[in-house]
Amino acid sequence: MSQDPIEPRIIEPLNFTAQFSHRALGNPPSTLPESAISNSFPGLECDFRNVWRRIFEGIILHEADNYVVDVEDPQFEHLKGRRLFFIGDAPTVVQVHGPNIPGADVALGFSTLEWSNALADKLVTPGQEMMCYFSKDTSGAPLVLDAVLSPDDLLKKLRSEAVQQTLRIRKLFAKATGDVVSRYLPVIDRQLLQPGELTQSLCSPWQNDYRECACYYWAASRPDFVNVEPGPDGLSRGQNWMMKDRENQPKNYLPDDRTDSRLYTYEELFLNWQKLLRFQIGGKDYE
Amino acid sequence: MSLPNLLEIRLLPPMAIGRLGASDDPMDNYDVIVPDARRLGWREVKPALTLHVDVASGGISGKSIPNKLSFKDAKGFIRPLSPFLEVWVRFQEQPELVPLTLHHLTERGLKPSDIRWSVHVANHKAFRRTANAADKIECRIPEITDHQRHPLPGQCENFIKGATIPFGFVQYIQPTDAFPEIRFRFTPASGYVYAPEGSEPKSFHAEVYRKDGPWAGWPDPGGPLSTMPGGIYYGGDTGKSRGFLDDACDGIIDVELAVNGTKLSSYARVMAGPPAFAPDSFPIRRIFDELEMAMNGPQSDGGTNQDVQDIVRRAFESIRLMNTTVMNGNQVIGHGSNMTSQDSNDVNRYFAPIMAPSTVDNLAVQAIHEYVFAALESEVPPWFAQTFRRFNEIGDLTDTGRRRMPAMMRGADGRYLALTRRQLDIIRMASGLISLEQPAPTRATPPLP
Repeated sequence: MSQDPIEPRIIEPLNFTAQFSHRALGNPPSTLPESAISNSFPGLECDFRNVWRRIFEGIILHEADNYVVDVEDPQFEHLKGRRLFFIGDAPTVVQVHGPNIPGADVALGFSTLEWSNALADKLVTPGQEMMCYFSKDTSGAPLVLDAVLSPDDLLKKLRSEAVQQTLRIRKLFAKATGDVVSRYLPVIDRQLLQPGELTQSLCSPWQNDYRECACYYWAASRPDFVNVEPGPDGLSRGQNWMMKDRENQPKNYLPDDRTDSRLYTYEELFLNWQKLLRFQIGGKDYE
Repeated sequence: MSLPNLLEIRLLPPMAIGRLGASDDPMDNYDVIVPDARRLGWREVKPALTLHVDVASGGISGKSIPNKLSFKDAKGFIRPLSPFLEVWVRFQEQPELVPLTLHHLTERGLKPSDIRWSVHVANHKAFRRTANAADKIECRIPEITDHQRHPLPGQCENFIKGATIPFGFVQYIQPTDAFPEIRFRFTPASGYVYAPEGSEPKSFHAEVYRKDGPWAGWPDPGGPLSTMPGGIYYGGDTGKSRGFLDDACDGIIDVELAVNGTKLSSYARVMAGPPAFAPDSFPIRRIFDELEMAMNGPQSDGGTNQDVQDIVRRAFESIRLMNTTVMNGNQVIGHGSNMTSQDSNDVNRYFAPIMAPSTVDNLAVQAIHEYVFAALESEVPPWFAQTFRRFNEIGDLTDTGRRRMPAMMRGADGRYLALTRRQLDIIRMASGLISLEQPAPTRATPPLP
């Protein structure tokens, strides 16, 4: 990701990829969506899941669940509180299954699919009406099945009991107006996302999650295992990024037990995170 | 000779990320470059052409390439990432977009002040939980045509009288003959933490919130309206919110130009969040990948070996900063927020490590990826396409299902991470496979005897 200031500065209007990747002169790479993680969100730049909440005209979905949290069109009031199970024949949920004891493989519940992947082939026909299948139940209770069904049997079962409603899917991107060469613009439509909504489901304050979560699915942005080197046994030795006074400690990783005083506390991070947390270049403390 | 008409304007990039920092000196520009010598080595972070803004005049006072990068200032404060947004234009009978300049305006009898900007940014984190509209923190700056720096005070009905959370600054950069492009700059906030009045201990920057406001003491009720994961706020031992807030925000910047009675307009989205603390590393699945799939659909129009190398490189960049033995669940240590613990806590799966514990030392996992990468560099087609988890296989918590790639990481749905369908299709195309999209191999429970 380098920036050539004397490159010919032209962009094809239909090349949305180039526009999203455009580094305005003087902007580092971490100002771009290419630097922002899109899995597991509690504490980072934004929670992209929020862009899907209004993807169907008239209803508002939970950002990470198949639950209808509200409606914007009164004709869909009856959908509030229901769960969306199928869009046409495409499921929004999958069964979770695996061992509850060694060697078993049993039904363990349901998981809602990421909207991004579940909707991917529906988005190519914006404005199209789609038959959507909702739960009869309006309490928001999770779906429970004792047996693991094949995808076909799951479709038959859930659709046979469902409340049906035709809904129109929106385009994620804003419509172009005036004398333009494309029908859409490479910016997320205002109708889908109001200011404040892209970050609303993140941790408050985000600094809390840097310690609270202790789950390291964002290591490329929020490092976990740093100053790593081979030990005498050939295995890795390194330090927890949250460890205080790293220079004077051996390269033994301290797991976070929420009580170890050798790790930064929540309160220390709230007040002083800028001075305490260290940038990593080449996997080592940079400054 | 008449000048070509301006047909449309666009504000680029259409999504810009500001990164918080309390330093008065915004971060210098830099490039991140894949080294030639060791292709899967750390990317080089090199200083790049930086524009220096004179805050008082709003103009650019000069440009330079710094000798050395410093992410913090002399006082130890982080230097904020303050993105520029550029206005690009398409002229009549010209197919491409080009940067709009002072020259373009002048020759049409227009002035920089004919361009109008407006800003609306907000923080709805408290509102997302309490559903009380008085908890929305909002900032609207309706019309900017000058080049002063405009502060972004976040206001909220449930704040103490007169209190605000500053969301940073914006500035319409004054175009000059030396720097004629039309650009706007968003400087995010300092990265401070705010609290309700009377909060103890004083582990925050300022008291802004009413102590009797709904966010102070709000209990996460669980259930279908909660965030996922739930309870993601400062709660201490009680589990109830202590009403803490941050100065992150997101919103829209609008730009408008009237030309011969026609209004041309565009907008971009901005957001402010924490710094990228490992600027030489990039996530395997990015916001960019979501946007690309939303633009172009789940089927790629071609995947190359180089495309797959980029994905593998980013997987490697996450892995080497991650304690893979902890993430694998080799032992129950710490408070164990890894996928093995979440499998047990969320759905009562039997607790067991994902991979054989002896195989997941960080250096060993790195070595596997280096081997894969070396094969790709030798133009061997990616033979490992079938090892990836498809998006509809996230519920498969069998031993085999959990070992699919990407391993040990959590997706936005709370279960194991899957790539976007488009990313996986790129790998499929590069592999020469006809299909990876067959139905997920969920097996049916055998009928009872």
